[in-house]
Amino acid sequence: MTTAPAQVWQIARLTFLEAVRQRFFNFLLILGAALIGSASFFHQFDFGPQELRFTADFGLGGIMFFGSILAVVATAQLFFSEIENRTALTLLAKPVRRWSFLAGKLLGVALLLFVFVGLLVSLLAAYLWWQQGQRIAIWHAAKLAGEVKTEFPDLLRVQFVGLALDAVLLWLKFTVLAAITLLVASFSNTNLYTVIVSFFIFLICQLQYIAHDAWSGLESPILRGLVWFLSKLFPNFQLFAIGDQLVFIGKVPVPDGAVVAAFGYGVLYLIVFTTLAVGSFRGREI
Amino acid sequence: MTIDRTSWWWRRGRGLLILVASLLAAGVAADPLQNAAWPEVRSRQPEMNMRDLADNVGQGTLLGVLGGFRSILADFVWLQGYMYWEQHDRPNTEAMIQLATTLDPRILTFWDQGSSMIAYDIPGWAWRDHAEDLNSSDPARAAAAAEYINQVTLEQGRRGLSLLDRGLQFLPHNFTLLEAKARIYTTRLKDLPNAAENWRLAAAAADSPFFAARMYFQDLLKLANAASPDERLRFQRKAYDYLRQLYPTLPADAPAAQKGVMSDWLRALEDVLKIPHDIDPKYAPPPGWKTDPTQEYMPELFPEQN
Repeated sequence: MTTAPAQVWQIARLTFLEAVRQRFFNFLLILGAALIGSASFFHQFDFGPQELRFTADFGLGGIMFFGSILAVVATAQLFFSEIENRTALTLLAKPVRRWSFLAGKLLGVALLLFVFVGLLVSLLAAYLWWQQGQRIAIWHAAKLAGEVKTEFPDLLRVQFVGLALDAVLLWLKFTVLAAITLLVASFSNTNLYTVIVSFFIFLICQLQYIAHDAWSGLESPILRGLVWFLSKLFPNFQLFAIGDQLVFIGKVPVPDGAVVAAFGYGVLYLIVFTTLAVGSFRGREI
Repeated sequence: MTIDRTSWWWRRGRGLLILVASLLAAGVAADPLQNAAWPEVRSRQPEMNMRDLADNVGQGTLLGVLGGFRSILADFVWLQGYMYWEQHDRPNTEAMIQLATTLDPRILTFWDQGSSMIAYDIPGWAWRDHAEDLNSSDPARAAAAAEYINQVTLEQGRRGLSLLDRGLQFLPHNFTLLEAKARIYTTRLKDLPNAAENWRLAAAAADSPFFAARMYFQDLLKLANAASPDERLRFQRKAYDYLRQLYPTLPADAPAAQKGVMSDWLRALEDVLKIPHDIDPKYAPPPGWKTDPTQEYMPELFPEQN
């Protein structure tokens, strides 16, 4: 008889292998890579002064967009494929606890998201490295010609450690989204319903910051209470945007404590949503 | 009445209640973490500041949903706005300017060029559209057209200023935006006090060119010209004090600083205000400076004293 962690790992491994073989994952990966590769093309339409910042924003925007789709759709698909193919019944008939099944599914999706974010952020980092090298070479040529006196400014340099931290925060955000999807899937009957509801929740979480910032300024006590209630009910996904501020040095550096707090926030919600999904799945008839 | 604990409603209701209570508890528990990180996120993205929910909720929604793609979308909206501008389509041009600045308020070009389109180009279109009326032999028709163009010029000037004020919320103390405001006040609204105030702010902005301080100084002298005799002295004194404060900071070797010309102004104002010439070396003319004997610009600004 295997132990619970071993069971979780086995389910996670199989979930991950099943997911990476799916065309959907490969399709999103190729789309994401193509989007990062096309950043230079799109930059010609940009009115902002900094090419590197545009590339970083555009690339991270692409990863955020496709990663969110992957987190919701892959989680729902992998969960319901087990239910619809009746493999969940076979699996749960063995001494596998429901929480192990769910935790394994989530870990498998988290691994999938890790690979997705890791590959695309690595590609983005390589692209930014190459672009930055070109910019520095042009700057040096200008310096030799006496057109500029200073070295290439630090404010324009890409902070690759910051980019790696941003990738971790992005991955954590996607994993929380996968946990939310798993919670919805645990009580819903169809894949489509799960995907639609999860996307709505994702949108609410993306916009939660408006409620978070606005409730104290509202005059009507009823509206104020309602907005406060909503701001506490959903996590604030914009909090993870602190990672985007680490890619370039700002005039004031981002305090480490803020990054740790954002990470802790993600971990807390990951635990909460996973626990709720397990609780809900326990009472479900399969 | 007894509760059927096996009913669907009871089970679902209880489940929902537990879910909401758990999420609420998590929200309250996560508050310290959120409060530790959120001010850092917000301070670095001023467009996320929701000071006025009614005015900003649309912007907040766009920013929240589009994430990193908002820059490129704003760029395309701006290009679309340019197409409308080429067609002299006022409502759509202004709508696209508003949308582009909402999507990506970090880009200076949108604010600067947008305000210029609104305050200068649109009245120009009105002028062109009513050229025939303006040149009409019927005086009433010509006067009505002139009045209409004047109203459009004032209205568009105010709209341009309103856009620049919004821009300054996102790019505070930005020289380009303050300069644009000062120019609109001067040329469109003929509002010299506000023009002067914006030149003062522009001169105080980081990386401000030398001419901004001179513009403020000259506007003070123009205000003096337009004022009553008592007020005139007050404005001239203000201009003098400003110049005394500015003069030592001007480099002698930068032609754009025009330190020599400014030293002439200093002496001229001392004469007008009957203040003895300051012999402190820091107020001395730059080495090798020869005062322009004509000083044609001065009588214009000291009409009565000269």
